[in-house]
Amino acid sequence: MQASVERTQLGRVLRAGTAAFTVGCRTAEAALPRFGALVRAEAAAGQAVYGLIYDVCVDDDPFVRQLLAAGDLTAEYVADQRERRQVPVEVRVLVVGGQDAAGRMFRYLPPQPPATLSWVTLAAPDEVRAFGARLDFLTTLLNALEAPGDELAAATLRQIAAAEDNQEAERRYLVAAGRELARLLSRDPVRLNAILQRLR
Amino acid sequence: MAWAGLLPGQADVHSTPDLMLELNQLSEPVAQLAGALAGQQHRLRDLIQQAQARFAAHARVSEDLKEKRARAADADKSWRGAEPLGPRLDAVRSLPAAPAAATLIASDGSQIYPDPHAVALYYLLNVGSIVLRQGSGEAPSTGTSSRLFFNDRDLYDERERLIDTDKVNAERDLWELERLAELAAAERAALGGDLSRPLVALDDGPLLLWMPQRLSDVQQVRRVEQFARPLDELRRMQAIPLGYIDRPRSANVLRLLQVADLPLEQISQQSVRRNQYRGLSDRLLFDALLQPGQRSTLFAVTSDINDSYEQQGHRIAFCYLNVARPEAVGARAARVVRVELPLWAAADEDRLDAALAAVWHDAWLRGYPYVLTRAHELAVVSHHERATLEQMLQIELMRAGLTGEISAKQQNKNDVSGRR
Repeated sequence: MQASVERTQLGRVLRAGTAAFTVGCRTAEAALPRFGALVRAEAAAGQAVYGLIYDVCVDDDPFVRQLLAAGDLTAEYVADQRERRQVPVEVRVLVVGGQDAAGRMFRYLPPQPPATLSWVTLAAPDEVRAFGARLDFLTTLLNALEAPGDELAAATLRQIAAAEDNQEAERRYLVAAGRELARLLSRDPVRLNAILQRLR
Repeated sequence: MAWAGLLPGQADVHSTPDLMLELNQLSEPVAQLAGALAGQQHRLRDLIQQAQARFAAHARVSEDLKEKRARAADADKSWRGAEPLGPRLDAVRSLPAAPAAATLIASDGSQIYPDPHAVALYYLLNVGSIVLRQGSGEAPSTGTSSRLFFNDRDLYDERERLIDTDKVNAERDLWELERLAELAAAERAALGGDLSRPLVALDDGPLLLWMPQRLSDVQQVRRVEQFARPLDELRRMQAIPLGYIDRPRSANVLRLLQVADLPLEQISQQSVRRNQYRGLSDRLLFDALLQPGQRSTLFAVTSDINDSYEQQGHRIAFCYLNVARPEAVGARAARVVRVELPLWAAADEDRLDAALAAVWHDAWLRGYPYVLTRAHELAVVSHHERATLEQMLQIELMRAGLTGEISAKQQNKNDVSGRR
C-alpha cells in the first residue's frame, strides 16, 4: 500500500500497547467511525500498524451536561456542539497486523506499537481487500481479551466482503471466511453458529 | 498518594510530605470567614433596605438631582456617580419576548504574559470568536487567532522597562474589539448590506476602559483613540456593541443616591468620598426592581475617561438587565447583569431592546451568554498548549544556534509541580 492511496483521516494515536491502541479524534470530523472498520496507524520508515475499531466512545463534559439540563436547545446550539466543539471522540482499536519496511502486509502482532500522535487513517477499499485476502487475522480476533472478538469478527468480515467488486465475489468471500471459522471453532459449535448468523 | 493528606482525621501533616496546603491549619480561619460573612449579611440587609428606600425617594430625576451630580463631579475628579439619562431612575423596559432573529458575534481573549524565566522573552495573545446566527439552524462560525510579540518595541515601554500585565491586557482587549468589528463587517457584507437583521457584538467585560493611574493624560487619550476606531467601524456596520458584565460590583447609582441625600452646599471632595453604602453594589437595587427580561433605564458613567470617549463620539452608557429565565420570578432568582454600550447604540431604544433580547435568550441555556462561553473556550491557552509552544520555540532557537532555556528557578518549579 503506497502513500499515494487516498485515505480518510481518523485522528491521532492517544495511547498504545502491543495488542490495542486508542485514537483521539473530533466529533467535527463528520460521521462517527464504524465498528469493525480497518484502520492504519503510520509508523517510522514506511511501516504501519493495522487494527480494527472495536469501540467508539463520545466524551462529554460539564458544558454539554448543563445544556441537556436546560432543555430548549435550538438547532444552532446542537450544531455548534456537534460540529465546532473539540469534544474528543475516543476510538479503540484492536491490533491485527501491520506492514513492514518493504511494504509487505502481515497479519500478526507487529513488534512495536504505534507512537503517540501517529496519524491514523481509515483503510482504503483496495487496502481492505488486500488485508482480507488472507484470513490469519481471525485467530487474533477470536482470542482477543480486550474486545468483543466474535462480534468484531463478524462485522469485519462483512465490511471486507462489501469491499469486493461484485456480489458474487462478496458471497465467495463470506463462504471462505465461514469455512475458516468452522475450522478454527470446530470444538465450539454454539459459538461458531453465533458468528455465522451474524455473517448473513 | 497525593490525596492521602486530605483524608479526614489525618492530623500529622509532617507524615504526609505531599500535602502542600495545610488544610487543617486553615479550618478555623475558614469558619471565622464564614461567620464574618454571616454577620456582614445582617448589616448589608439593613443597608440594602435603606438604599432601596432612598432609590424610591429620588426616583424622579429632578433638576436638583442633576445639579448635585454636576457639583459632585466637579468637587472630586475620581467620583464615579451615575448620570441618569432618562426622567426616572426606576424606569423599567420589558424586552420583546419573541424578538426578530439576530446575529450574535462574541469574542474573548487570553494571553501569556512576558516571563523572564521562560525560554525567550515574548508575549502571546489569543483571541477566540464566534458568530451565531439565531434561527438559521446552522452551526456557528468559530475562529481563533494568535499573535506572538517578541520585538523590543513590543516588549519595552518608552522608558525601556519591560511592559507590565496591564499593557498586555489592554492590547488583548483592543484586539477583541477589533475582531468584533471585522466580523461585524463580514456579516453585514454577507447579508448584502441588509440592515434589518440586528448584529450584536458582545464583548466580555466593560467597554469603558480601565486605566492605570500612572498613565499620563496624553497616554490615556491615545489609548481611548485606539479603542474608538473599532467602535467607529461597528457604528458604520450598524452593529450594537455590548460589554457584558456578569455579577457586577459597580456602585455608580448608589454613589448618586448618596450625593442626592446631601444638601447642595455640603457636597465636597470629602463628603462624596465617604462611602455610606460600602459593600453594596447597584445590582442589589435592581434585583428587586427587574423581572426576567427587563432592563433598567440608561445611565452614563461620570469620569474623565468617558469624557475622552465622548470626544471620540462614543460616550459609554450602561443599564442593568435581568437575564434569568422567564419562569425565575422574584428578587432571589434574579440574575442581574450590567451591560455597557456606546450612547449612539441607544438612539433607537426598540432596536437596542431587540439586541438585548437576543443576548437574554442566548443566556437562558446557562445563565450566561452561550456565545461568550464559547469565545472563552476558543481563546483559552491550556498548560499543555503553552508547553508545546515553548518546545517549538526552544527547537527554533537551537536551530538558529541559540540556547533557549528556561531559568533554573522555573525548571525547579516545574519539576516539583509535576508531581501534583
